[in-house]
Amino acid sequence: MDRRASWLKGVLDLLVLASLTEGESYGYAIAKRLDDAGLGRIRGGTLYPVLNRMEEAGLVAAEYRAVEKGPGRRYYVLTDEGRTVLAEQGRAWTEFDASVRSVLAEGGIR
Amino acid sequence: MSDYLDGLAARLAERGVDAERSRALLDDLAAHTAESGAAPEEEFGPIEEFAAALVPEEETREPEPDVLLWSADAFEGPARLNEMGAQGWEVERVDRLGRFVSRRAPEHPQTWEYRQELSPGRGDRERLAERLAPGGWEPCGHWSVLAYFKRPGSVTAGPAAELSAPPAPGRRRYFLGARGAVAIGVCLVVAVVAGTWSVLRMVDGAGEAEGPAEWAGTAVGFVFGALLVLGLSWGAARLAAARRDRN
Repeated sequence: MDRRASWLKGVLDLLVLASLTEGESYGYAIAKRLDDAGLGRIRGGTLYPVLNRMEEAGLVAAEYRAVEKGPGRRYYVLTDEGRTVLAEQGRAWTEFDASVRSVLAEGGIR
Repeated sequence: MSDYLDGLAARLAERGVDAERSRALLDDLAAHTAESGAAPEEEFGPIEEFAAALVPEEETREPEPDVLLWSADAFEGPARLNEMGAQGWEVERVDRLGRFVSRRAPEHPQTWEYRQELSPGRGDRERLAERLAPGGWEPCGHWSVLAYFKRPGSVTAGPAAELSAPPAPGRRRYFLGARGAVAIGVCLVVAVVAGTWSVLRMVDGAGEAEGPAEWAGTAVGFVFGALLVLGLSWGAARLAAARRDRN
C-alpha cells in the first residue's frame, strides 16, 4: 500500500488551503506547487473533488474567468472561514505530527 | 471537448449539476489537461468514479418531500384540512402549538381527506380510531380536545386520487375565520377586563392590612378560573363525544 497516498488523503485539504494563503490560484497551479514542495504528483481526480467540497463548505470561493485562447479557468481564493479552519486544523495537525515524531524518536527514528 | 469531458458532462447533468457550473468546471478540467499534458482518463480516473467524487451521493438523493407547517382555528379546521388534502398535503402530526405538519410526496402525490372530532382524552381517541378504522381513517394528531383523522383519497376515488399537477402551496399559513376571531376576541376581552380589574383593585388595597391576603386570593382565583375553563372544555368535549357515540 502506498503510505504517502493515505497520509496525503488526510491532510490534502489543509495543504490546499495553505497554498491559497498567499493569494488566488487555480487547480493545476495548486497541484504543481504541492508537487514542487515534495508531496508528489497530485492528480486532478484527487484534487478537484477536494476543491469542490471546500467550495461547498464555504472554505474557498471560486471565480470562473474566460481566456481569449483555450478553455477558461476557475480561480480559487481563501475565505475568512477557510482561514479559520486552516488555523485550527493546521494547529491540530502540527500537534499530531509532534506526537508521531515523539513516538518515532522513542523507537530510535530521528 | 474530448470524449472524456463530454462523458463527464453527461454524468454531471444526470447528477443534477446546473449547466453553468458544469461548463465552468469542464473548462477548468480541459485547461488542467492541456497544461499537464496527461490524458484525461489518466489525470482524473474513470469517468463514473470522478463524477461520483465531484458530486457525492448525498447531493444526488431523491428530493425531500415538500413540508408545510400551517394552522387553522377549530371552526375553519375541517374545511381547510380538506382543501389542503385535495392539493395532496398529508398531515403527519399536529405539533404542540396545534399546527399541522404536512408533507406532499414529490412524485405521484395523491389527495387526502380529513375529519376533525371532539375527543376529551386518550381512551376516547382510541375508541374513536377503532370506530373509524373500517372507513379507512387513521389518526394523524390531536391538540387539546380536538382529534384529527386522515384517509387517502384513493379509498373513495381509487386511482383518480393521484394528482398529475399538484398546485403550488399558497402563501397563507394561518387560517383564522370570523367565528374563530370572535371566540379569541371574547376570550381576550374577558381576560383583559378581569386582569385589569383585579390589578386595579389590588393597587387600591396595597396599602391596607389585607394586601397580602388579597394577592393570595387573586392567585387562587386565577388557578380556580383556569381549572374551571379547562373543566368546562373537557366536560363539553365529553358531552359531544357521548352524543357522537349515540349517533
